[in-house]
Amino acid sequence: MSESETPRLDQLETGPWPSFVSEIKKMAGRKPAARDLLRQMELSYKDRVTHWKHGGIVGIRSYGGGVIGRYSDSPEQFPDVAAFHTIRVNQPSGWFYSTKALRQICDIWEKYGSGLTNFHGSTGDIILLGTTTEKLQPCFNELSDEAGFDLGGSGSALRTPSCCLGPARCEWSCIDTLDLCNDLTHSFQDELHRPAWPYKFKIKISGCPNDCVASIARSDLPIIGTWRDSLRIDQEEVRKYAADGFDIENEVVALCPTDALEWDEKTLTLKLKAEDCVRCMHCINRMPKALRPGLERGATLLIGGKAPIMKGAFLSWVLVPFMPMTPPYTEFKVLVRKIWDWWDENGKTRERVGEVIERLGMARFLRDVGLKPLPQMVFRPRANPYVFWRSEQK
Amino acid sequence: MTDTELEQKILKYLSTVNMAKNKSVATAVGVEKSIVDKAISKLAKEDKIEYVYLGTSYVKLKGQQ
Repeated sequence: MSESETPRLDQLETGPWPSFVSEIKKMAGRKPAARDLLRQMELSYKDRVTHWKHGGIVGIRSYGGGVIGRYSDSPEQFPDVAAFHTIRVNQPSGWFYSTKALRQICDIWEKYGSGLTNFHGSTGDIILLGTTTEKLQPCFNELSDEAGFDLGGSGSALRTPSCCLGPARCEWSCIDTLDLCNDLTHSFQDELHRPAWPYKFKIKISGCPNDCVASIARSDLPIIGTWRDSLRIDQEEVRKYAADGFDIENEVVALCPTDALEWDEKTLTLKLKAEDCVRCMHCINRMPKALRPGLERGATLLIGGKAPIMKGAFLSWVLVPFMPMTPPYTEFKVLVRKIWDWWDENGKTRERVGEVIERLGMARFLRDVGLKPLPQMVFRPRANPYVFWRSEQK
Repeated sequence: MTDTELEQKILKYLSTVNMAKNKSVATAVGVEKSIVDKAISKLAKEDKIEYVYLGTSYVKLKGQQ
């Protein structure tokens, strides 16, 4: 295509970073939809307004979500993106693929869609960008029957659970994030594909408190691997760090947020006050050969994280400080169903669970779902715990 | 109320409306929503009711216009 058609977009190719414009242009020679996509985007940059609009309900037979309808508001001008629907495809746990699976997805998408993909969307799903209404069903049929994939979540439903790569590649993972994510995805198929709640609900799983998938900020119910005993210290390795000139006192001990570590310069020994450790992972990250998570492992559950919509952004709050996380994860599933029922009962339309808790109070939420208040349940770091005294109690 | 009685009650209620959300069904039959959810899921598997997706999920009697 002529570059003069998209002078504003062309500027986005001039920086040192990879450009999505260049990638779409590669496809524009083969797919008219990709060319119209660029032309419409150019107009949006000129007009400073989107030219997409939400259309009617589109979807796959017997699914309530997984397809996001997109229509151009100028179909006469851009006929090849008059309908340009997005398909969310449920990613495998930890985003592990065989090359065969990737080729299958790409082949199917070139056959039925624009050929443009997004690996991955912020939901964690594979995002297939742009197809027409009539091609949705055959595309899905091939994705599911031939390639073995399913749709992801969208709308007021459970969104596709996602997790870090966990024990597959990370020595710090305290739980099997991959198995847990896969198990929850299969257990909650109804909740994933049949939107019936006030709004969306996200579960994200991190294997350790480093929280590589940023579950604490990006999900309503983060599951973060942790340990209940104390972290393990290999004093021999500690001494090697010291001998190599690593400044343990300033780089590790002084930066411990709760002063749980002590460095004995004379004996070259690192001491831990286990009861003060808040599992921030800083010391483990700096001295990975010497320090490791403890052995009694499970997960901390949090609640309420979300981006701004009705109210501002929330970071999640601790809900269950420690829960063992072993198959079949019954304790977790029972609790999450209680939370959903409570939210469904009390939530207003488009109100996330964290917003309902903020409106009605953590005390009531805990009482209704049958959890006891604990000192770890603070509103934000370094804040006092919630006050659970009720006025009718004397 | 037995499971069968609840299912009958749900089917009876759905015969009086075009479609309904699970929450409305639970209110109409006077049973906790989580129990109604399970009964509706069973009825859907038995092909007696079907889901309708109009932004959110509704249920209706199978074949009802």
